[in-house]
Amino acid sequence: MKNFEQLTDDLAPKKFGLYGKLWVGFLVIIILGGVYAYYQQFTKGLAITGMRDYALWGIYISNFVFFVAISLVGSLITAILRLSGVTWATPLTRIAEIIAVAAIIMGGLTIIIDMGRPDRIYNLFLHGRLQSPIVWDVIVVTTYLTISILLLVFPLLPDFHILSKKFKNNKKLSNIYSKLSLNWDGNFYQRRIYNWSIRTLSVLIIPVAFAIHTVTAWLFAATYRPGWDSSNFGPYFIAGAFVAGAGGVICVMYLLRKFRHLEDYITDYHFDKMGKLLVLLILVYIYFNINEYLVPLLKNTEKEAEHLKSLFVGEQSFLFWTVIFGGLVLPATALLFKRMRKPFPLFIIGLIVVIGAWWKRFIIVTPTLLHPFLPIQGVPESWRHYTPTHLEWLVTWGTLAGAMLIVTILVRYVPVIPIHETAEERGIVEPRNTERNEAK
Amino acid sequence: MNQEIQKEMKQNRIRNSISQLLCILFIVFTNSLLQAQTKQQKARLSVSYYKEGNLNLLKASAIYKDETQFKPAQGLNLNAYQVFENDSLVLLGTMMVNAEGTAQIDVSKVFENDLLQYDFEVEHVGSEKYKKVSGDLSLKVAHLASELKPVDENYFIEAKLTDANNEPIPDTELKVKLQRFFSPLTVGTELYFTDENGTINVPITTIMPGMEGKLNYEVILQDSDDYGTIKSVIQTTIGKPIKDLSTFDQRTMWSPPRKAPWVVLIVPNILIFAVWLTLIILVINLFRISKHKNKSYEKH
Repeated sequence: MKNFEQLTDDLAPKKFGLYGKLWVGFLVIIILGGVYAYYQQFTKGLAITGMRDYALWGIYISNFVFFVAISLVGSLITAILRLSGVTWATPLTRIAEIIAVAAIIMGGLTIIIDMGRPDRIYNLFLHGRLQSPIVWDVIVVTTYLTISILLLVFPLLPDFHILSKKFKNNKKLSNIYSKLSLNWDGNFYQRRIYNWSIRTLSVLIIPVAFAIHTVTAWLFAATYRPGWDSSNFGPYFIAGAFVAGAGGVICVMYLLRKFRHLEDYITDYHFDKMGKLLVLLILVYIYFNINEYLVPLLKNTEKEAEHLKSLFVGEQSFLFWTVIFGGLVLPATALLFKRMRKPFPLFIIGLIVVIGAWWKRFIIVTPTLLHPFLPIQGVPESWRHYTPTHLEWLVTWGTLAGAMLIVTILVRYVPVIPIHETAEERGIVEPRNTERNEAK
Repeated sequence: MNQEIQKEMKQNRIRNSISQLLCILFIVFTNSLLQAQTKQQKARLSVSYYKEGNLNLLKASAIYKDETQFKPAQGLNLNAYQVFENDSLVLLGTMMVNAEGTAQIDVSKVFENDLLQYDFEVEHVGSEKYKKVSGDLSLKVAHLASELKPVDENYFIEAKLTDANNEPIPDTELKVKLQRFFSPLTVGTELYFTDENGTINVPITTIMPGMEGKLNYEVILQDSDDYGTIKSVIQTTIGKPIKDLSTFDQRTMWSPPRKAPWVVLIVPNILIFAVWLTLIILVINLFRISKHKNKSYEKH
């Protein structure tokens, strides 16, 4: 069994190698491209996007819903599994928390990006209606971001303390970690406050996480539009969010295991468990999808029929069936086989699921808008279709790269696997405690 | 050792290649930006006139050709002048082209002079982005009067088009429309031609619904080469009355913020307060942890 020193050596943050630096450079270039595109949008207005009077929500809102969805994984792994007494997920909690924080930060930013006049955002606070799901969304996104940050910070305190001692030869780094640890030395009082805080956060994040995605679903479901007018939308969104989030965690855990050599901590067992969890989540999501499409198909009202026709056999059909089969049915089928729950196949499946999840949001958001109840006479034909512009894509890629950069920076400076919790679970005693016990 | 040197050399090669690529990208990017900044565009300018009631507008439309398509010449500053017989110019004011490529200026005061014909010139004197450009407009004065006439149980719209001397203008196209929220609804046929008396008579065959019976009809002389665009609006109450079902004064989910239902004001605020109070306590806990340094490891 590894001793404490080996454990901290394995799990302490490490400098990036060449590939790490290249990756950061790549992300920074994409972000700069996004910033340039957004500057164009800021100065020239939303006219530079493909959005018009019909498709007034495009890939920005799909992207926002995707970010909110993927951020829910923080509550799934950290809170739901932890409170259920699932111990195998411990090495994955920090990864889930990091993804959640990165996603919700960029989700909030994406909403501002979608605004034609972001300089007028203060009007939302001055004149916002508490009856409006948009105001609820602003409140709940802010709340969830705060909880996610706290849920990332609290478990980091003991780890920062451990790192401050580990890097004692590097005084500057040691001081930074020491300050970040908030004078943590693991005494009784600190532990009591720490445990209460983590328990409270773990409980608090669940209703808030459910609220954030339910409210996001209500942004759509509170209208009468075909494809959105559903009482099922809240749970449908949450089920989809867990799928996207679990896929995201699988991708990140594979990459970290490979590049940080964490095979002793993120094992095949963890991949197998995550694979099984992903199957369950996908099956639940498929169930909700059947509800979402079958019931309107049976009712077959004029506008619903028009909308469903475009999805099933029309303009959006290729994307729709690719997402349903490629992003859900095939991954779920593949994951039933044990060999597909091995790290690399599961990574590929996770990647497909995440990409499918992004396009699924697009399928939910845009086609509905192209079938309005009140068509305007004589609109240009181009308004009846939505094609994102290059600048729009650049902004969107910029936000996705931004989220990945936040994950990358956090991976660089914080332990991706909780050192303190892992040591406790493995019964490895921190040397200082041993000395103190011996002295006692 | 050799392997390490080779590895380092390989890394250096990759670094150099990336640096070169970034430099090239930077040069291309800045060069294209500089080119975009320095290239002066040639705008195409057109001038028109719009009259409705006592309002007289001089309108300008400006576009320029980008590499592939026409775009609005946004930000183009224009001076509007009235041109007199001796070619002297009197500045009426300035206007700026908006994102849609249009600009307008109220020239109602000019028409107080009671002339038969007016000449205007609109000019951009040249700027960093656009070359010098100008456009002119020569305009004869016309008046369009319209009214609603009940005949038996039917209604007619009668409109008369006259020139500055009050002489009728015959054989001229007029449109009659009913104003709506999105776009006006054509009444009868698309076009009516004035007779020798300069008049048209249009029967209203279908009475549309309107709030408290209010229906506004408009008669338009559109884009005439001689007279510009002239619109005359008739406000009537002949529509089928619609009962106002507004719940504006009630506390509903779609009412203004101050009239939100009490339950919506109370319950979410209690929840927000409870959650954020907990979060504040949790943030305070971070400070409490910081303050409890070096205390005993055992419970007292």
